[in-house]
Amino acid sequence: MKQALIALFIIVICVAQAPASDTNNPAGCVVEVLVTAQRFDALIPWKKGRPESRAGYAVVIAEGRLITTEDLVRNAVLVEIRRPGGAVKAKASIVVADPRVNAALLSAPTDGLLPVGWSATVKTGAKIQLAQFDESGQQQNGDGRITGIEVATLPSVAQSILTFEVLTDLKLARIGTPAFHDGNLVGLVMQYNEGSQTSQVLPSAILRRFVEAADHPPYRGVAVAGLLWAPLLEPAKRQYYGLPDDDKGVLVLRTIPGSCTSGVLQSGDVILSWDGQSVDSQGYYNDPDFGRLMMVHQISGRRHPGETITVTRWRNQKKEDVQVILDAYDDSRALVPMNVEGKQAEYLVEGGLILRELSADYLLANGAQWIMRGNPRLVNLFLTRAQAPEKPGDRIVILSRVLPHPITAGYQNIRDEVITRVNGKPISTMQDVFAIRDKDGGITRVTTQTASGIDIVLDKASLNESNRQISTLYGITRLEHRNLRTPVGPLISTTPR
Amino acid sequence: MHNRMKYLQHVVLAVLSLSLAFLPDTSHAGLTRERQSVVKIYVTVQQEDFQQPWQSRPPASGSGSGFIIKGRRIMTNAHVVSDARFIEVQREGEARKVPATVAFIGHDCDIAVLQVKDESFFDHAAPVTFGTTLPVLNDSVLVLGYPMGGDRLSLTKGVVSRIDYSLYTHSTVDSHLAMQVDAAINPGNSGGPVLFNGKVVAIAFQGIMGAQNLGYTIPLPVIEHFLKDIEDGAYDGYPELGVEHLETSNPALRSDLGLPPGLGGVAVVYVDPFGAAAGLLKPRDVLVSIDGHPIAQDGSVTLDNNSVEYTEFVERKQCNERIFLTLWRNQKTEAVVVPLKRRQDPFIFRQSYDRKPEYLIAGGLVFSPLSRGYMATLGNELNTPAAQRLLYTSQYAKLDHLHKGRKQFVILTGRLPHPINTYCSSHLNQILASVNGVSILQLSDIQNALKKTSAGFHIFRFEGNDNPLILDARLMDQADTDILSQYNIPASHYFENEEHLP
Repeated sequence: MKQALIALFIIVICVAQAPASDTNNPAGCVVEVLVTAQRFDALIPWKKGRPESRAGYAVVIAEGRLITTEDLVRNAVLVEIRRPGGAVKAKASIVVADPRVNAALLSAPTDGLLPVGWSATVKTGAKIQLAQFDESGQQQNGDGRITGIEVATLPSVAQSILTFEVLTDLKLARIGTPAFHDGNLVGLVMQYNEGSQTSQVLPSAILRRFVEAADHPPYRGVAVAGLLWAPLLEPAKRQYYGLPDDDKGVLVLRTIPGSCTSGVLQSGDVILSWDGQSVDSQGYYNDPDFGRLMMVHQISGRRHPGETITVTRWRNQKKEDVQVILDAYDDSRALVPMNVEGKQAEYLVEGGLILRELSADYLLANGAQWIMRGNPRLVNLFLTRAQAPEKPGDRIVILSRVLPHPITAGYQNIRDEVITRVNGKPISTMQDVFAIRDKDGGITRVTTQTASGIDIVLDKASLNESNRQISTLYGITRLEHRNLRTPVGPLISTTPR
Repeated sequence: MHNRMKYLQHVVLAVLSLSLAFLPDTSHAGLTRERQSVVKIYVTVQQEDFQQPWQSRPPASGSGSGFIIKGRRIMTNAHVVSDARFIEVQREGEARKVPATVAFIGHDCDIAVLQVKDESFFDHAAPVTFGTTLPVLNDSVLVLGYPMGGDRLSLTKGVVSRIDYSLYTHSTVDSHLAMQVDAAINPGNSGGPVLFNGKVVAIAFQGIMGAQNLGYTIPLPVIEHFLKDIEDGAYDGYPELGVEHLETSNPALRSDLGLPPGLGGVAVVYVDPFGAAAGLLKPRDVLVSIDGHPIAQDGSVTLDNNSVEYTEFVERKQCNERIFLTLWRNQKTEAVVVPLKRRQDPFIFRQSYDRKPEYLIAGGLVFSPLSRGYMATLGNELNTPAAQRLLYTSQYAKLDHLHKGRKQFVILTGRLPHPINTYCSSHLNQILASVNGVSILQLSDIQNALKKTSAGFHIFRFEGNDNPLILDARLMDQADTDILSQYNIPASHYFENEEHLP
C-alpha cells in the first residue's frame, strides 16, 4: 500500500511536470526581457541619469509568472517581454526584486509559453544546456558543465550566495540566459567571462526559495545573522581559546549591534556548529545537497528571516547550544546604507548648501578607484562603521557641496564635510535636519566636524529669496526630497535558551 | 600720444637690432664667467627599501647639475644628492672629478649645499652672483645644466610664464613659491642655475609629467631663505603657523563673528597642535593683520603692489623669529606675538631621506612606523579597504585626534614566512593597537610589551580589527633566531632613537 502511494506520488509529480519536461527543447519557457532603466545621480540627488537600455532573458515558471536576475531590472522604468524573435512586446511588472539574491519575480502575460520545472540538486561535473537567441529569434544551444559549486559574492552587491561556475562553449551575450538539466531549470547566468568561457550561474535552489518567499507576502528578503567571523586555523590561537585539537570552529569577531546574534554571540566566542551542521576551522560545513560549502549558505541559502536555528558556541571552555532567530537584511538600519537599488537620496538644498546622508553609492560614484579618490574620512567611515550606528537609525549627514551664490560667499570650497549640528542642535539623520528646518523656518547655521568651533552661517533675511534664485540658477526643481519613513524600532529580540 | 608710441617702437627696434648685431660677442663674454661656475654632479645613491627595511636598494648612479657659490661651496637640489653614498663634482670643461659631501640639505625646499675637501677644485672659478630681484613675467631666462646626462653644458632659453605657490614634489607635502619657465627641464638639469641678466635668480628643479616645455625653478626668495637659515650652521626649515582658515567675505559670517565693517581678515577654523600658533590661536579668532599689514577678507595682503597670501609673511621668516598678529577676538582687537619654532611634527608624513627606516621583527612579523616612503611602495594597493586606513590616518591623524598619545603609528608591513606565522598574512598593512594588552604608541613599545606574555601567548591586536594575531610565546625567540639567519637579516630591529628604550 505504502509502495503504491509512493508510486502514485511519483506519477503525479511526473504529470505535473509533463508540460515543462520537453527534454528536447526546454527553451519554450524563455522570453527576452527589454528594460529601460534610469537611476538617480548618486552625486547630485535631484538629478536623474540618462535612461539606459538593457536586454536579457527571463523564464516562465508558472502561468503569468517569470523569473530573471535582479540586476537586469534594477531601476527599471519600463520592463517588456517578447518571445524570441517576436515583434509583439508585452509590458511586465516587477512583483518582487531583491538585489541581495539577484533575483526578480515578474508578472506578465505568458500565453503559449511553457512553464519550466526546477531542476533538482546537481553535482559538480554535471552536464547542462544553455539556450540563447540571435536577432532573428533563432535558438542557439550550447553545452555546459558545472565546474564549481561555491558560495561567492554577487556581481554587483556585497552578498555571498550559492553560485555555480559553468564552463560553456556558447558565447553568451546577455544576462539571465537560462541553463537546463534534463529539461529543468538549473539556474540563470549572472556573469560571463569570454576569455575563460566561464559563467557564474545563480542556482535554482536559490531562485526557487526566492519565489516561494515572494509568493507569501510580505517578502522579507534574505536572512542574515549580523555576524562577523574569521577562520580559526592557527594552532596557537586554538590553544589560546582552549579548543580541542580538532579541525572545528570559527572565531566570532563581532556582532552587529541590535542584530539577532548580538547578545547571543560575542567577540571571542567560537562557533562549533551552525543550524545542526558542524563547522570546520575555515567556516565550511557539509551541505546535504551540494557538499562542502561556506556556512553562510546555511543562512542566505537554506533559511528565511524569522526562522529559529540552533548554534553551538564555545565560550569560557564550555560548549553550549543557543537559539538564534534570523534577521532580514535591512539597509535602513545601516549607519552608511548600501543603497544598491539607487533610490533617490534624501536631500536638502538650503541657501546653496547641499545636505544629505552618506551612502555607499555616493562613494562608489567615484569610479574604480573610489577608495583612494573619495574623501578619506567618509570612505573610512563606510569601510569601518557602515553597520555600526551608535543607536538604531543613526546616519552620517554630510555637507556634500556648496553651490556658488552670493549667500554662500566664502564657503564655496567646502565639500564632503560631516555635519554635527544644524542651527546649533545636534543631528544624526536627515529627518532631524528636516524637523529643525520645519520648526525654525530655515537653516542658517551648520556645524561641521572639522570646523567645530566656527559655524557656516547663512543670512536669514535673504534665505528664501536665495533659495528661489538657486533653484532657478541651477535648475533644481525641488530643493528637497524626503522619504516617508517608519521609525526604526528594536529588532526581534532573542534570548539564549 | 600716438606719435610718441611710434617713436618708442623705433627705439625698441633699434635696441633689438643692436643687441642682435653684438649677440655672439656679448653672450660669449657674458657667459664665460657663469659657465665656469657650473658644475656637473655625479652621485651614487642607495634608496631605502621600505618593504625590507633592514637593507637598502641596490646602488644606482645618476647625475645632476650645480653651481659654485661663495664660500667655496656648491649649490644644487636636495633631490640630486638625497640618499647619496658617494658624490663627485666636475667643473665645466674639466676632466677631473673631485669627491664632495653634503654640507646642508633642505628637503622641504629641495636645496642642498655641497662642500669639497680639495680646495684646488675652486681654482680660477668665480662664484655666481645672485640677482636681487626676480624677473617678471615674459622676461627671458637661461637654464644651464647637464640634461639627460650629457657631458657638455647645455643652455636652454625660456620665458618666465608664472610665479606662484607650487608643491615641491621632493618632500611631497611642502609648497613654496616656484617660478614656471617655458623651457623644458629634464632629468640632469636639476640643480642647475637659472640666469637673468647674468645673475642667478633660480634653480631648475622639477617638470610636470605630461606637460611639454614647462619647467619649474626654485626662485630667489626660497634660495635666500635657505642661505639665511644655514648661517647659524644648521638647517631648520620653514616655520609654519599651522592654521586652517575661512574667508570672511560672507556677510552672515561677518555679523556672526561681530566683525565691524571695514575690518578684513580670515577666521581660524583649525589650529594644528604642532604648528607655531598652537595654544596661541583658537577657532573663531579672526586674523586681521600680520606684521602690521592688514589681511583682506580673502586672506590676501598687498605687498609692494602685489597681492600675496598672508602666509607669505611666515614663509619669509626663519625659525626662532617672531610674527606679530592682530586678532579679532571677543569683540575687540588683540595683539598676539607668535614665536616661530622649528617644526617637529611626526604626523605630517613628509617623504624622508638619508634616514634608515625603523623596523622591528617579532615572530617573523615585520613592524614599521607608518611613513610616506612605505605608502609609496603600496601603489594601487592603497585602493584596498585594508590600506585605506593608512591613507586616512596619514591625512586625518591630527584633525580626527587619532594621534593622541602616540609618537608613531606602527603597522604590520610584512611577514617572513615561518611555521610560527603561517596564518598571519591577513593582517598586512593594519595599524597595531596593542601587544599583550599594552598600547603600542611607538615602535619600541613592542619590545617592552613582549617582555611578558598573556598566559604563554603573545597577542597582537590591530585597530578596527577584532581578530587578534596569537603566537606561542615559547616558540618565538627560537623562531626569530631562525628567521633572522634564514632571511639574512642583520638585526631584529632598528630604532632611530635608541633613547626610546627604557
